[in-house]
Amino acid sequence: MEHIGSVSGTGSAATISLTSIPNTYNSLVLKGVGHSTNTGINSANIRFNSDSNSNYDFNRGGRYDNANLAFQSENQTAANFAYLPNASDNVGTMLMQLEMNIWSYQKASTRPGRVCFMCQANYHYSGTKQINFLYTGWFDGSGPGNADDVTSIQLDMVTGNWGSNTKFDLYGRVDS
Amino acid sequence: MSYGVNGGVIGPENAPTTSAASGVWSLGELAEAERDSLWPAPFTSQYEYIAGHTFDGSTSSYEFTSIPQTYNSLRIVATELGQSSNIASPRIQLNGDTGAYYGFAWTGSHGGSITSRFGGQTGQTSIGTYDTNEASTPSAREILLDGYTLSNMVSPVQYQFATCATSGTSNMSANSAAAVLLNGTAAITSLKYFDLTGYTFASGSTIQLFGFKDA
Repeated sequence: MEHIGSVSGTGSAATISLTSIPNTYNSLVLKGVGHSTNTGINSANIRFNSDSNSNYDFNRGGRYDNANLAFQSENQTAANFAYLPNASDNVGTMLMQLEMNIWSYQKASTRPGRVCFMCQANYHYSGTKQINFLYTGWFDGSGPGNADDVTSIQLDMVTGNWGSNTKFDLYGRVDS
Repeated sequence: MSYGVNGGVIGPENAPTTSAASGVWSLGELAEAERDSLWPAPFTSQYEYIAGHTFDGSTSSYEFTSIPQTYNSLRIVATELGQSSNIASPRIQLNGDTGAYYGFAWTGSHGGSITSRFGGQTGQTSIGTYDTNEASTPSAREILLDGYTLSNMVSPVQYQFATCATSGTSNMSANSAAAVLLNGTAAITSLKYFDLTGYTFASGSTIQLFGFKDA
């Protein structure tokens, strides 16, 4: 894989972005850790090319605290890709870990099919409270991954900001 | 680290002095630098092999110590063959911490049913199962540690495992899972892999540690 870029949290920004993504890779990998400055369990969403039209579908399932949980939604303005800990749980030391694959990120004339992702995101904040979800999501419209190459990825904290120990790296696969 | 008496850079910028010749590596020094991944800079981001162990059938644990803090993340791959008659419980212990601070959660399938397990544990955390009856087809697990070098945050552990069994289906398993050493904010410098019940890992079982490094 080739390293494309990194993005870090500052504690004061709810949105962090990876930009100038080359359209020359077969697929992308986004990996790293994140946390929120806000109290309460937070979720994070992804957008491609900052497109906020209601064209994102996603599905998630796994373990949420002491129960199984599955959820899916369509026609959203962003796709959920993670739950993550907040500043008050375990004295703000907990991190969400993300391993995401992104496929078909070029425009359809280059690579047929819409941009889609699959990831595992997890965090704990006590011995019996944790979230471990598998996600999949995609852009179900005519923009990024269809009419246009995906050239930027926007990660939005739904409530609060990305904490200062947040860091995600984006890689491009040259051979798969 | 330097190689040779000149401290080793290639090229004329390392000017000779009255006590040292110009800074040109010998072929041996060049080979050493390449071996240690100090030169040339890698062209791609990739996992580098750090250490590994192949079990001989007589031991039930292996520990990686002095884990380098120079990588973005760690990847551990283990394959287990069985040699007794029970389902085994491989575990990991981080930084030698024996406190009651570990937690884990699984989601997947086990024995033909949906599996979802969680719990708090003392001195170790579960990383799945393997079938100790299965002597020919290894079970396997991949463990990822991002943020392991942070000294002020708890490093999360993400893993997936598959338990193979060619005789019967009750122990077959495939899960995605997560674990953590709660309250353990120190950087991860050691990782012990062992079987909770003391079953020895069969000969040919392996565990390997890789570090992910950017170009």
